[in-house]
Amino acid sequence: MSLLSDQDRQAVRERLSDIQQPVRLLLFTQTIGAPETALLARQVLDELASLNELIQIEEVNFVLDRDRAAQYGIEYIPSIALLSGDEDTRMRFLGAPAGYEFVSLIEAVVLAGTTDSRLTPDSRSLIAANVTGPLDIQVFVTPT
Amino acid sequence: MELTRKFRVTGVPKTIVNGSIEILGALPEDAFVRGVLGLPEADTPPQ
Repeated sequence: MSLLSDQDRQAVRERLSDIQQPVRLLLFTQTIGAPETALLARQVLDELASLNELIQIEEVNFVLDRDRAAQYGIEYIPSIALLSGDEDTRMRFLGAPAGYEFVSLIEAVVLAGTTDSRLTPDSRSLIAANVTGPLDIQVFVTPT
Repeated sequence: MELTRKFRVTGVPKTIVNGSIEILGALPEDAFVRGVLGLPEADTPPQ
């Protein structure tokens, strides 16, 4: 059963039409003892992938595939790593991207599938002039 | 829960940069970028 109404599916499909290159979403979860949010995350991702053929979902077993979990710095489940083609965008979602966070996920997928950050020229100049090392940005939200 | 305790998150959205800089609430792009970079807020042009 679809999580979205037909009207919402159409709106999301239109937003995703900006995507120009394949986007892969790696969902890290586990088969036994996974939290309910892991199942919800899978449903959300399946719905998203059904709306644009450039979006691919791959489920990675957090317990059995520790090397890949380590490769992508995954410590919690469910977690989602976004790849632009085969390239790691370094964007991660922890927990189920449900509720309003579904919008954040859509925007992240569009970002991974395009080459334009849509930041203003002023923001780009500030970043270029001031970032001298890695930045780890964590945004805490609630899925409501 | 582990992360919310570690960073004392009691309201959202809350942004943590490199484990130390804290940004509370949803800000306009310029203010958010400056916050992430640890820069002072831009001067407000005189009215």
